[in-house]
Amino acid sequence: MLAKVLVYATTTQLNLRGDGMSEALSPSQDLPPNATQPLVVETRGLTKQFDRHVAVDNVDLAIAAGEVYGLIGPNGAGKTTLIRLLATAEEPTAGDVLIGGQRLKRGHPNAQIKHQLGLLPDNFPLYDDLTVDEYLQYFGQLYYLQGPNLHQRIGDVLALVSLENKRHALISALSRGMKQRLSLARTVLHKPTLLLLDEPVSGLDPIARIEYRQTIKMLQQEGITILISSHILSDLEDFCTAIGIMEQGRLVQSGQLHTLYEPATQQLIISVVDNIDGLVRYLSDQTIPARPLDNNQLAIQFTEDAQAAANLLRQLISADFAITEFYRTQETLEDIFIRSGHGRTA
Amino acid sequence: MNWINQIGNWNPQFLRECRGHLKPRSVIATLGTSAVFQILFCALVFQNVTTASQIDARWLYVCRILMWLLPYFIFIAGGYYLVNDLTQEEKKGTLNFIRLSPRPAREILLGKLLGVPILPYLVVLSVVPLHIFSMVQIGVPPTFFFSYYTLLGATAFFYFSLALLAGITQNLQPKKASSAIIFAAFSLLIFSPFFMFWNINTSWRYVATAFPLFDTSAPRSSIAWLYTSLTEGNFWAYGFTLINLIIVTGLVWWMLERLFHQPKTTLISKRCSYLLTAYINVLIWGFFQHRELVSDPELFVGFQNLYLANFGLVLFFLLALTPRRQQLFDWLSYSKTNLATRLWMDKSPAFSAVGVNILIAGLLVWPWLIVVLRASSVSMHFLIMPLSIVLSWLIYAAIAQIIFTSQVRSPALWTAGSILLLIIVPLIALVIFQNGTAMNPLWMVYRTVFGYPFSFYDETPSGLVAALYGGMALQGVVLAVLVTVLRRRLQQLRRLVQSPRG
Repeated sequence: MLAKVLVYATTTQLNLRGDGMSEALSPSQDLPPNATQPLVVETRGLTKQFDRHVAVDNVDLAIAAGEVYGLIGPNGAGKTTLIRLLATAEEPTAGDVLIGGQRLKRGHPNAQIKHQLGLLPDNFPLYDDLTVDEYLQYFGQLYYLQGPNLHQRIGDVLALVSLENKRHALISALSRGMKQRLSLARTVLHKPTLLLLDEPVSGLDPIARIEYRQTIKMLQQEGITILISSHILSDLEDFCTAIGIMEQGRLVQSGQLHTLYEPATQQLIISVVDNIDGLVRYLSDQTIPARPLDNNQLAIQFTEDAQAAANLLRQLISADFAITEFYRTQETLEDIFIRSGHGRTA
Repeated sequence: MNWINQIGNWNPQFLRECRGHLKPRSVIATLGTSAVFQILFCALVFQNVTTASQIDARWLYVCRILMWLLPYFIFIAGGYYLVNDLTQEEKKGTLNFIRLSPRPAREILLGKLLGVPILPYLVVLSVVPLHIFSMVQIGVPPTFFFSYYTLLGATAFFYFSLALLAGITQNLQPKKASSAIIFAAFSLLIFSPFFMFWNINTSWRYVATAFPLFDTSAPRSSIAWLYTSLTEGNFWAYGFTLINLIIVTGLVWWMLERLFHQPKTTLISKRCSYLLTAYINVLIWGFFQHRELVSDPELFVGFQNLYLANFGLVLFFLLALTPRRQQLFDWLSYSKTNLATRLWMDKSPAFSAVGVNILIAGLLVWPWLIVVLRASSVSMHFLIMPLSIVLSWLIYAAIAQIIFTSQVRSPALWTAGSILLLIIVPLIALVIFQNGTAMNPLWMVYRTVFGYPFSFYDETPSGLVAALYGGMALQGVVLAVLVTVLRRRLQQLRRLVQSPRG
């Protein structure tokens, strides 16, 4: 297996308070997600309190246009509440939400902002008595789409979710996966600038999940800003450009994905046919500490660039080591989650 | 098809409801049932008819039956359909998606109102030709036809708006599943009979005299508003009904639009409650500005009715205006807690707003009472006595807000139970233990404390006036204690907002 990812990592943006609690970041000030793009989502001190339970606690979030922002955290961390607050489905206890630079007003329909939003909640109730086409027409017209434009758009979104051949089928006759895709089609029908997806792949089989991932990548290519929460971290790693980790209502870590990887965790794995002890000694002479693994394999901590890795490989081959594997590893999103978020505020 | 798209562009919700309800099978079944009913009904009515006068009499019968049947049918069926539909949508969660769309609440709700009861509308439309034909046969003037159907339409619009309100109000309904049935029962037992009673005695009276469409054997009741009779068969009665329907429908839509976007807020806004109180008081007061009401007891019936109406309003506000604990949290966290926010912000405690509502009612009732009392021999102590009633209402408002501030599971049920207990138990004790009409100072204090300082026709013996004031002082103490408790509760909430995990 060869190294797939070469990331220039910087230190993570986690600030720790004296009490050991992670301090919420202020990405708009401390960590611009993408300095060249305007912000589509910005929250300032966003808080939602349900009696004694603070579901969202003083969250400062900034998501730039075109970003795919993955929101991760354990159950009850406040992901769904945060998404509902952004979607205008819930009013905050305190703080502000700006969507496309427009501030959400309390007790106001916020029609202009709603036009920019597309929300797909974790449950996706549909109207079983309508056909797919009638359902999408209804929602398109709710968003002021009309005439040929609407019909064209329905065709496009059905193609996007591979449901073209079900256009005139009754919704009650669709499978769960199809219904989930139809919900996504409904959510993107009016071309929202911000797509809010709450656990969109939960309950899907592996093939449906792969298809769903492809669809999200296509939406990303269309330039739609996406905020997605999921428990399946490997899925998020595949297409997210930025990540936020929530713990007990707090956004404990947030930033571009490549900035979150811990440089110290980057390793080179080297396998040889034999003479593993000789290899360890050789590396030790080069002042490279090595850690033997099983099966004639060792790991070395390696934070240098790709050229340095290539030079080392060349050196080892010259020294007559029978190299069978030489690849670079890096921590996964799951590792980041465990390392920096999960359990820290518990 | 183009015209279908145009309907959808105008109101997508209406088109969605039509698509959902107008399935060919349902339409055929509905129209078929209506046709069969009409044929059977006519066959039954016209059997063994030989002479022309008999035929006229039977057409009169057909006209009369349909006139009664249509309002009952449309109110019961339409109300049931709407409440049931919205309850189902809330239950499934589909209403939230509609809420998140940029379409105004007015359009969505209008689409619901026009589209959900589309099958009952079809039934009514299918019966209208027979109804018109029967009217023509007996020579009823077209003005009556116009009056009947406009009032039926306007009342249905108001009533269905009320049904929408009942449907989207989740926090006041103890049992969501049964709310549609309760609403249908209300239509059958209260609303439809009232609609017929009111219009027969006012707007349609002139037709009822000329054509025996309604039973006019009952003694004619005299109804007037601001010295203008509503029972003389003039256009005023018709206009009066329509204007009031427009006002109450407007108030209901004000609540509806607000609740649609904020389903977790109070049922009624503070501003709307002030207008509602003013409107109800002016309306009822107007009914007692009548030339025929000259004696003291009759005028006091007016006062009694105003008292009952305002009592009803206060009880309604206790549930509809009092914010829940969560809303108080929001108010405490983002808003200033000064008097202005207490009077105008919907998430602030309702205690001050209930006080303002009582003040609005009082501003109207007290001057009138002074005028009435000057012309009568009744003691001026009556002017002070309403204060006791006001104090008891404020006590209810404080209790309600304290309960809503607590962490009880169903604050509305607890409030309703507590207030009912406070109203009914002292009254039962009064009935059981009071010795005839005799009043002693202890009883007077007891009555005053619980808001029953006098019966409307009684004169308070001057020797008991001191007891009255004593009772009111005790009320004042109770109120002060409750307000202190409420204030402490709010301070606790504020601390919780400031440091929730502390």
